[in-house]
Amino acid sequence: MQIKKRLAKIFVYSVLTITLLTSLFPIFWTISTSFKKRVDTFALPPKFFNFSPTMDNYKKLFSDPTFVKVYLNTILFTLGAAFLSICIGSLAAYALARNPRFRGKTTFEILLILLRAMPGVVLIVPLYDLCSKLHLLGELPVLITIITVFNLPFTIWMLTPFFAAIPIELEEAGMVDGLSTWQIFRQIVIPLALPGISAAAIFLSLLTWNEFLVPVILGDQSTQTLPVLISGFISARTLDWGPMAAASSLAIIPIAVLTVFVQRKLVVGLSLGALKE
Amino acid sequence: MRGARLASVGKSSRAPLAFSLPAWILIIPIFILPLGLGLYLSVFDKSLGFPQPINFVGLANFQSDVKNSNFYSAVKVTAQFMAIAVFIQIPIGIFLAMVLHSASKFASMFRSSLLIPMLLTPVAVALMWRFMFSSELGIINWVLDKMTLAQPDWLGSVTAAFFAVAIVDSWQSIPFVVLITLAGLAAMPVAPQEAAMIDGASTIQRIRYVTLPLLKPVLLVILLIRIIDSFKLFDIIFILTRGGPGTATQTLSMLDYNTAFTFLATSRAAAIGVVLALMSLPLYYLWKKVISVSS
Amino acid sequence: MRKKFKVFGTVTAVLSLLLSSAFVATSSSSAADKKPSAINVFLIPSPSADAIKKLAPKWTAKTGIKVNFTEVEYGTAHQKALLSIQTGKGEQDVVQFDNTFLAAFANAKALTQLNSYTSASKEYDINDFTPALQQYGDFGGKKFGLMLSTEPFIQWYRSDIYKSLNLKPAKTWDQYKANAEAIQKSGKASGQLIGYGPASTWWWMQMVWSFGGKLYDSKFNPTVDTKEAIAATKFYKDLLKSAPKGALGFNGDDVTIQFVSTDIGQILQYSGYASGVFDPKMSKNAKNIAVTPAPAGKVNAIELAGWNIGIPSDSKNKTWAWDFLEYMLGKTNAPNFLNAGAAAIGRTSITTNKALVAKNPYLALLSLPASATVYTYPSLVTWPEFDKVSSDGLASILSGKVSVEAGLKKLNTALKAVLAKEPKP
Repeated sequence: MQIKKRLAKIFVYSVLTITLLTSLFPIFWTISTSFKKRVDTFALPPKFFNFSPTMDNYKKLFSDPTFVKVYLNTILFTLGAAFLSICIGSLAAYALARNPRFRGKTTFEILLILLRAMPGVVLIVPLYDLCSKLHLLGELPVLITIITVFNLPFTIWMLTPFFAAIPIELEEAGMVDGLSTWQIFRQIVIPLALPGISAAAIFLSLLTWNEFLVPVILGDQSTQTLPVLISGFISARTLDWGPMAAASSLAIIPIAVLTVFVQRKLVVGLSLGALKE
Repeated sequence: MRGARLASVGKSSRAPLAFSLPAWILIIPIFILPLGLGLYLSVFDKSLGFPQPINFVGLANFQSDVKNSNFYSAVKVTAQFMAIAVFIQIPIGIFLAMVLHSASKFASMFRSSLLIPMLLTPVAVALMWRFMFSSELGIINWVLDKMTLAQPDWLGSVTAAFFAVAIVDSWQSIPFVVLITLAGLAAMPVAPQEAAMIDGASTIQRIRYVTLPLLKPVLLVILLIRIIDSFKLFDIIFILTRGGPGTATQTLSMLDYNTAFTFLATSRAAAIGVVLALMSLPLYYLWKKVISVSS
Repeated sequence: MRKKFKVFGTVTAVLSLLLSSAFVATSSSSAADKKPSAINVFLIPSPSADAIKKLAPKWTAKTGIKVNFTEVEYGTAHQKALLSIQTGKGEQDVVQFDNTFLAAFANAKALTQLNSYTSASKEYDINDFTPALQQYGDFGGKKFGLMLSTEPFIQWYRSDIYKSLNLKPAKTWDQYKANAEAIQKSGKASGQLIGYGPASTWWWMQMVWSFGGKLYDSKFNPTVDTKEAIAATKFYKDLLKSAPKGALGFNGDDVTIQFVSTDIGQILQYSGYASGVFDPKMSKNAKNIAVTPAPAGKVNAIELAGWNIGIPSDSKNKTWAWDFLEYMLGKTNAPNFLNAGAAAIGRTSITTNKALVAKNPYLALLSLPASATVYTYPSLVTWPEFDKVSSDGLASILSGKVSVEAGLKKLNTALKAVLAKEPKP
C-alpha cells in the first residue's frame, strides 16, 4: 500500500513536470533566442544559457517606425473591438437572458452557431469582394466591426449566464421605483454582472489581439496588426531568427504577463461560460 | 401588489428584446449579406484574372469540385485533424486534468503554465515552432539526435508535416481541454466519489462509472468546441506549412484560401465556402444537445 | 414591438439592396494629365522596392511631385492590386508585380500599354536591352510592363570546396551532377541544392526545358508526360540524393538562406539574391562564393525571372507615372539604382560596364548569350493555379508516393483541367 501510494505520487509528479516543461519550453526558447546574436541563434549544440545576450534584435524592431505603428494599431484594434463587443454583446445577452422564449429564437441560435463554427475564409472571400467595392479595405472601424460580429457568439454565450443569474426581483424592485428599462439595465444589472463582463472583456481582447485572417486580408498597410507583421517573417530573406523571435516575444510576453495576473478571473470566466454554454 | 408584479414582469420581458437590435444591425451586413453574396458568387465564374462579363454557370463550380482530387484530399486532411482533436487531444487532456486534480496544491502554478500556451497568438506560436522544427538547425531534431531517434524532415516530408501541425495544435489545444475538465472536476459533488471508494471500487472503475458520467456536460462542451476549432484550423497551418508539402496539410479552409487568393478564382472559392457552410450546419444539433444536457 | 421589427427589417433589406447595386463597376475615362501633387506607387517588399523608395526623393526634388508608397507582401499583393485597378478609381499610378502575374494582369486589362512610351523615350532607351530582355514585359505582342529586375538562373558555388576537391564549374547538367556527387561523397558539404519545396516548379521547369521538353503546346494542351519531361523529372529527383536534409521543405528563399549559412557545394538560384549572398553580415560564406552560368542540357535553356513594373490602366496620372518610371529605370540612373541595392536590371550598358562588373561579378552573367534559349514564366493567365498544381504533383513524385511516370501522367491530366480555363487567343 505504501509502495503503491509512493509510485502513484512519483507518477503524478513526473506527469506534472513533463507538462510544465512542454508548456513552457517553447516560450523560453523563443524569448531566449530573441536575446541572442545571429550566430548564436542557429548554433549547434543549441545554446540554452551560455550565450552573451544582446538587445540588438529589439533595438532593430523598435527603431523601425512601422513596427511601433503596428504595435499601436494592434492595441487600438484590440481595445476598440473589446469595447464594441461588450456593448453590443451585453445588450444582446441581457435580451436573451430575460426572454428565454421568443419568436425567431431558433433562427438566432442557428445564426450564432453557424457564425461560431464556420471557417473564417467562408466569410472573408465575399467580405473582401464587398469591402473593396465599397473602398472599406484597411479602415480600422470596419475591421473592428467585423471582428465584433465574428466574436458575437462567444460574447453572447459567455455573458448570457451571468445576466440570467441576476435575480429578477432586483430588477422588479427597480421597476417599482419607477426606473426605465434602460436605467435598470445600466444601474442595477450591469454592476452585478461586472465580474462576467470583465472576464469577457479580457477574453475578447485576447481573441482580437490574436486575430490574423481578418487584418491580413481586409486590412492594409496602415492598419497592419502584430500577427500580420509576424507572418511576414516566414519569408525572411536571411535566417534572421533573432528579430523573428523578438517580434514573437513582443506578442507573447504581454499575454503571458496578463495571464499570470488575471489567471483566476480567466478560469472563472472560461469555466462558467463553458459549463453553461 | 400582485397585479403590479404581473404587469411589471410582462413589461420587463418585452423591452429588452429591442436590446438585441444592435447585434442584428451588425449581423446582417457582416454575416448574412456576405453569406448571400458567397452563394451568389458561387454560381458564376468570377475570377480576378478575367475581366467582365461574368457568366452564370449554375452548379459548374460545384461539379468541378466533386471531380477534383484536391477537394477530396482537403476533406481527408480536415477529417484527420478533427480526428486527432477528438480521439487524441481530448483523452490526453482529460487524463492530464485528472492527474492535476489530484495534486491540487500546485494548482495555480499549473493553471498559469497551461493557460499561457492556450492564449498565445497562434501566428506567433506557429512561427516559434517553425524554427524549432527546422530539420538541420532546429532544436527538436537535435534532441532527437541526442536520443538516437530518427530525425524527420518535419516541414518537408509529407507525413512529418502533418504531425508537425498536429503537435503545434495540440500544444495549444490540450491545455484548453485540461482547464475545462479541471473546472468540471472541481465543481463535481464529492459524495458519489467517496461512496465509490468506500464500496471498494478501483481507481479505474471509479473514473469509468462515477467521474466520467458526472463530467458528461463538461465533456460535451469540450467536444463541441474542439470539433469546431479543429474544423476551423487555419493560422497555424498557414504559418507552419501553408498547406504543404504539396497538399499534405491542405485543409478545406486552406484550399478555399488558396483558390481565392493564390489562384484568384473568386467564384470557385465561394463554391468551396458554400460547401464549408453546409458542413457547419450539423453542429447546431450537437450544440442543442450540449445545451440540453447541461441544463 | 413586432411592428417595429417589421419596419426595421424592411429598412435593412432596402439598405442591403442599395449596397448591392454598388457592385456595378464604374470605369472612368482617360487620364487628365495636369500635374498632380502626388503619385501613388504600389510596391512589393524586395531589394528593388527598397531602392525605389531610396531614390524617389530625388525625383520629387526634380518635379515637385510627392510619391506615396503602398507596400503589400507578396502573398496578397497581386490580388489587392488587381482589385484596386478594377474599381477604376485610379488609386495607384505605378504598380510593381511579379512576372508570373503579367498574363493575368494584361488579360484583365489592368495595365496601360507602354509601347508608345518606350519607343519614344531616349532616356529609357529600349535598345539598351538585348531582344530577349526587350520582350520581357510583353503579352500578346504588346508591352505592359517594364523589367524591374533581371534575374536569370545562375550557378553559385563554393570556390573553397571546389578548390579543395579540384572541381571545375559545371557547364552541363551531367557535370553539375558529377560535381554534386563528388562533394557529397567527400563529406565536406552537401552536394547541391535546388528548389524541391513549395517553389519546386521554378526549378523543375528549367530542367524540363533543358532536356528539350515543353510544359504545353501551342494549343494549350499540357505536355508534361512526354519522354523529355520524364527524363528531366527523373534527373531532378535524382539530384535529391546530394541535397541537404530538409530540402523538400525549402522554399525559394530558403535555397539561398541555406547556401549562405550552411555548407552546400553549389546551388542554382536567381541572380537577384546577390546583395544578400555577398554581404558578409548576412552571409557566413560570403568570401567563398563564386558564380557561373547555369548548366546546359540538350538545350541551353535559361530561365529568366524578375519583377515587372507598370502603369495601372485606371491611373489618372499616366504621363507623370511614366516620367517617374523613366527617371528611375532610365539609362542614366541605372548605376545609381544598382548601387542603391536593387537587383540588377540587365541593360547592356550595365553588364558591359567594367567598373560595375568588377564590383559585382554576377553582372556579366546577365548578358545572356545568343546561343541560349531564354524562357520566361509561361504567359498563362491561369499560371498561379498551374504553378500550385504542378508543385503539388511534384511533391507526390519527390516523396516517392508515386513513380515519376505515373506522377507525371496524373499531373498532365490535372493540368488539362487548369489550362481549359485559359482564354483562347
